[in-house]
Amino acid sequence: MRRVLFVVAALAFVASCAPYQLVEPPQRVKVSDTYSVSPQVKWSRVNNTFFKNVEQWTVDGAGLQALMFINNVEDGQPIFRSRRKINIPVFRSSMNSLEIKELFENSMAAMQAQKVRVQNFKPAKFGGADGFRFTFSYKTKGGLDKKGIARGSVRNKKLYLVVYLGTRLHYFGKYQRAAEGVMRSIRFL
Amino acid sequence: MRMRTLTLTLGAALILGGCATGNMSAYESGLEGSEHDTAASTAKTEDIGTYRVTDLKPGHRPPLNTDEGGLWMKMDKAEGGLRSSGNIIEDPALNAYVRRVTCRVAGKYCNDIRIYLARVPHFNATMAPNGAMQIWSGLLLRVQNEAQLAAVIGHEIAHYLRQHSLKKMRNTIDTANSLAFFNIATLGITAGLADLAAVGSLQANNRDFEREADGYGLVLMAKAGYDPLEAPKVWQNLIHEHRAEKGAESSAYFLSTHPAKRERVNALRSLSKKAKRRWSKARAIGRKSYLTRIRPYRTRLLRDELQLQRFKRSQALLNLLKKNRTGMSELHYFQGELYRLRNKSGDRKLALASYQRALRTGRPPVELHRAMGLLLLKEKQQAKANQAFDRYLRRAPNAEDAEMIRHMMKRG
Repeated sequence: MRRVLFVVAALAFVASCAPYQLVEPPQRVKVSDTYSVSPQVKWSRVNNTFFKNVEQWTVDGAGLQALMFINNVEDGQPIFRSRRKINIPVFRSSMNSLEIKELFENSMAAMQAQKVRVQNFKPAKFGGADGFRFTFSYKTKGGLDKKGIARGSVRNKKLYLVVYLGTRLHYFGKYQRAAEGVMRSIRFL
Repeated sequence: MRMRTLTLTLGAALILGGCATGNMSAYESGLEGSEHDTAASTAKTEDIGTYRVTDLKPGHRPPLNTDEGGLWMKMDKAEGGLRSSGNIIEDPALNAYVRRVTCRVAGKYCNDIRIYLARVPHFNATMAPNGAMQIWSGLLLRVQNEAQLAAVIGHEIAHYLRQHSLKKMRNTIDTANSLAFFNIATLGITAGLADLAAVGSLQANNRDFEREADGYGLVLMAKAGYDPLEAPKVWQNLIHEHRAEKGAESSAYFLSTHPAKRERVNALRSLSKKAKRRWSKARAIGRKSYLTRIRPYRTRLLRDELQLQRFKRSQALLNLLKKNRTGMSELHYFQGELYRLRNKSGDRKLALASYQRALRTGRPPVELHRAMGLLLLKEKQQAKANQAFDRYLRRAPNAEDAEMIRHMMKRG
């Protein structure tokens, strides 16, 4: 009996801190109880991310490519709420999309991204609402080239942003279309 | 924990940066040196280490079976990482310019120094024991002329020539050894106190190295013909910036509890006067040549600075740069950017006025029109905002945000 209890406890413990959980198509998946999306490939949800407010998916590993859902950023909060204390600029609900793009650039720089460059900044729908999208590139501190796309919107004074990024070589391109598909499928709950 | 502290200290000892200083007699010996030998060793310098500049010959490469050889091997490996690091500024013209100044200061040691310009918006320069010198872009933005750049480079080359990293490593190992002995002898009962004393003695060593590098740096720059009186100004300006950011009171407190900084400037000032008397022909300041060289990069560097959102510090820096009266239109634009990003009450008006000033003074960066449009939108002046956006799009039709701005104009 004691052994069974131990196994159950051990399993519960392992399950609670499993680093990844599978996100499978074709059913819609809820993200942070905010909206649902429809994945087209099998993603893995990363349970322990560097940021408090980010839900993160990946296929090959978060260092290679990551799809990040940043939700409910309120006035006075930074886009990326780091678990470590870093000086990072904050979102203001009065910001328009140009200022949010600038906030994104400054936030990336604050997190040590080098030579951040935003391009193709355009209007786009986000879960049916008016929003924006852009592509970006940067180098890591170690010199690795990364590429990314982002789509976002401000809704009820809160910022919603979905960012997909990966290494410029191979991994960004590998699931770019799948990530764009997820971004297009957003439906607020 | 103790081991980790020591490992950390050892790690820190491998890379040198600008730090503090104490008394000045140690490096005065450098000023007594003959024209051809900066190594002039006195009893005083021998207190710090037995190595002299002349011990390190041009093209120096330590044998692999020595502790120095091991240190170099580690550094060569780290340098490989530095070379491919994401923040390295590759621009050939800027690199060539800093290289020229370095060679002028380093003389026959020119080929032993490799320069890495890193895009980091803070004031710093470091020298690795194998001659890999890093200069951060925040430093390039802050020094006011070639002589001030030469002062920093001279300081770093002095670290290299005097083998400070190697000495620090040896000190650290010695301290660790004596600590181990002490702990065994006392059964570890007084370990905490011993650690404290050990770390203290290491820091005292670092201060010695810093003031020695200050002194030899002055000698090197003066011999290269640069006015040594410019060296203390680098520090004065930094202290000024620090004071602006932390407030005069906190700064006074900081300086009184850390007399090292103030002492260092005072020592450097009095030493620089001596150096000036010794090398009276060292007159080169190179204000115009420096500002001309740095101008093409200044926009990027100022953007990096403002990205930090440390507005008091940036304001002090802008005030300093404005004194040079170079590229004023750009400086007014960044003054406007500072107000716009700070976004306190009344800042929008101040920002718009700065932008207007920038436009009157010359040709500011094209982004000024976008920033103006943004602020006018906030002020609910849609028609004027559209005019500003229109000016931006006419000047930068392929801008990364052109489509979004056209969309915003239509919506208005």
